[in-house]
Amino acid sequence: MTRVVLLGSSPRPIDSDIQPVSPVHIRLSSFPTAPTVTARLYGQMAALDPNPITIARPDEAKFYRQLPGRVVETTDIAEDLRALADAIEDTTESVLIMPTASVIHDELIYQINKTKRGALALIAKEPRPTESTEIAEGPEPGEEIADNGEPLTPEPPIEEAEPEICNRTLEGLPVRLRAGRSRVVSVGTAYHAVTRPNAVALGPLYVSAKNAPVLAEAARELAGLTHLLGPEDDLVQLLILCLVRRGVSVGIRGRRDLYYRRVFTQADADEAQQIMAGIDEDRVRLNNAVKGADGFFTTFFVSTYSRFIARWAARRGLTPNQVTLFSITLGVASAACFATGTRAGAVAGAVLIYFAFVFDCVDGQLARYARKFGVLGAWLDATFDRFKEYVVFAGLAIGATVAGQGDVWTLALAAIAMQSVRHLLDFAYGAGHRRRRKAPPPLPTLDLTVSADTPLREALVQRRIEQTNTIKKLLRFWTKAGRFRPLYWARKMIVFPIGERFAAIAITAAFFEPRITFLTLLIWGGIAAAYSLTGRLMRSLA
Amino acid sequence: MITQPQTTPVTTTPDPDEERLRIQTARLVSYRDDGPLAALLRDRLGPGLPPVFTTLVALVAVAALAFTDTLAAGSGPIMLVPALIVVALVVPTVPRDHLGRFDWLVPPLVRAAEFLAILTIGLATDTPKWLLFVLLYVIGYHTYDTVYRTRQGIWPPAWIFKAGLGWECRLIVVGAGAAIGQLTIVVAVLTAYLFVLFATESVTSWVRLDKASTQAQASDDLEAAPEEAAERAEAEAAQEKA
Repeated sequence: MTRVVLLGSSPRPIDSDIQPVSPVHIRLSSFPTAPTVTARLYGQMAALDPNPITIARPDEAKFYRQLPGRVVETTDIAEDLRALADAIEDTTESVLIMPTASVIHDELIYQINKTKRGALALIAKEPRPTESTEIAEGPEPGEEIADNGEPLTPEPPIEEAEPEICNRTLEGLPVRLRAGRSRVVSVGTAYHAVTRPNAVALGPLYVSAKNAPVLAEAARELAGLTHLLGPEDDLVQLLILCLVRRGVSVGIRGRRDLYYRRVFTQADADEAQQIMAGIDEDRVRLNNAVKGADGFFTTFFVSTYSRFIARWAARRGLTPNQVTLFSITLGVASAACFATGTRAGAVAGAVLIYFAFVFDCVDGQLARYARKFGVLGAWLDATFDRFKEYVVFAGLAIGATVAGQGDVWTLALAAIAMQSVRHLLDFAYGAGHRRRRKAPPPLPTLDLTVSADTPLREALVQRRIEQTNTIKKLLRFWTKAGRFRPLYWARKMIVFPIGERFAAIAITAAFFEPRITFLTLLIWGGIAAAYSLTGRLMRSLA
Repeated sequence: MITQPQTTPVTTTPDPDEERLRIQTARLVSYRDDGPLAALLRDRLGPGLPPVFTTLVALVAVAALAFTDTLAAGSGPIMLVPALIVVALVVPTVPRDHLGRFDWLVPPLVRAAEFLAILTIGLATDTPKWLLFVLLYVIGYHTYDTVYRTRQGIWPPAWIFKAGLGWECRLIVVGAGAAIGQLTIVVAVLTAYLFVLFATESVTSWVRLDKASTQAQASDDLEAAPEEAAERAEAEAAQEKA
């Protein structure tokens, strides 16, 4: 379960005279029953936490009281911070913090809330000026323009940049956050300066149960420093400041193909509804049900259409376990066809094993799409993947004997032994490699009273230097080389993942004899083992 | 014995680092699938031998036997040699904490040595190969099952490792069966016993677990290789850059 905390107060935008309207008065007219922004949000949150805590100003509190949960009245930002600390400090659940003025897709709430990181913020990065668009389209919001109207020459490297208190805005929020590749590097306020800020925290913030007390404690300290802050400083941004300054790694994610908007006026809400109408949320959810980082064969010859089978199965009310059972049946039927030892049997077996694999992918996609996860389902899927593969080995070996193509059982034995040991190599490496006697050094911390983030950056640079050596550089280079797509897919194929194995079995068995199938499995498997062992030994050495 | 958290006072929560390392040891040891003999000798072997090197030596020695005609006789005491080599070399690695830099290599090396020894002995006799195939599948099943359970944060009961005989007792049984010239019967009985044991214990405990927990973790992927998981995280980070 999750503890949901909703933040009723809005920051005052700096770049305009717009007076924010409370979301309790903004209507979403295109939705059924035309709810207010808050009524819709509370409905969305009910599944996570039926009794959310709302922190609101007294003049709006009566509207929030009509909605489920508890309302805490506060009069200023310091009280907001303390109320939030009260709300989360004793939690044993993870915390989801969200402004009440949020218009957001259900799927986005779901994705943020299921993160495995210790903290995650939804952010929007400032668009970077590119040379071609700069002159043609004029200054982008937030783009730096020299006095004569010409865009500045390329920015100096970040090492030479000074911390600043930035007054540019993005979507009504001040750009006072520096986002790195995967996490927030630094956050500022009207008092806290940030080196080269490039993003805004839009609103939603996830904090794990472990980090909630850290946030509560830091929020209390910051509550004593609110005289330094400006009216434009948003509460969410302050909370991220607390986390970052306490050395908590705050992950970032963008909206990607989903939508979020902090609405300040009815016009914002109308625009938001129009944009949301153009997004197929179900399609996004379906695409998201496809596991990332799958192999080449799975990605291009299975997942391209298996997700639609998954959606069809979900609409028919089929469960993932039923699909798994169907896949097992196909696998056994495939082995039986191979065991006939005839060419027709081999071709039929190849087709069946391909579809056994397709439905093996479908069950996982269905589980993720329909969000029907079960312990038994995960076990059934994993266990019978192995069973299907090995029963097909046996079918092929029987088929070769029946067809008088000689005894390939020795090859079958070698194949099952190699594949089992190769799997165990994956599992044991996963269980034992990175956690050695010394844990990685924690992220640096910086006192909340310090304005400039320079010490934080210096500590980060130092940490990076200490962690770097030749092998790490080499591994980093190899990781980066994955941006070159052909190399990326070649690397995926060389490790001989399940899709490639099933495809190799199907193709070689259909066109040749079982001996060739086993030799393919052994040779490709051997290369795969050598490749992944090399990488892993290096990683262990680094 | 593995250091259990019970040894620390119950009032203090265990140090997270210590706890992590304890789990790492417990996982790798459970993947090795040590049996009753290893459990018996664990505390009597002193500090133990370095696991990666010793297991590698055992594997190479069995491979040398496999590719020479040493076991051509097909019966007699010589058939016990592969099993005894592996047991004599690898059992003394049991007391180690498996926290070394390369110690993740140990479980696959142990399993490889076990499989290679079984195949060497089995193929030197006229044991039906399909029977050996089933034996490897059943042993493999138990290993996969152990991994899937620990990935869900649950541990197979200690007795299943002992009842499953562990790699060392299984090897001795197979070696002894070959020595007396009755390997087919011995492998058949061993396979049937292990199949019934592992299948019933595994199915009953998973069903029980499924009933106990209504919701598993959202992205329970029991099979993912570690690189895949890392890459998925990497891909998510890369999307943010775009």
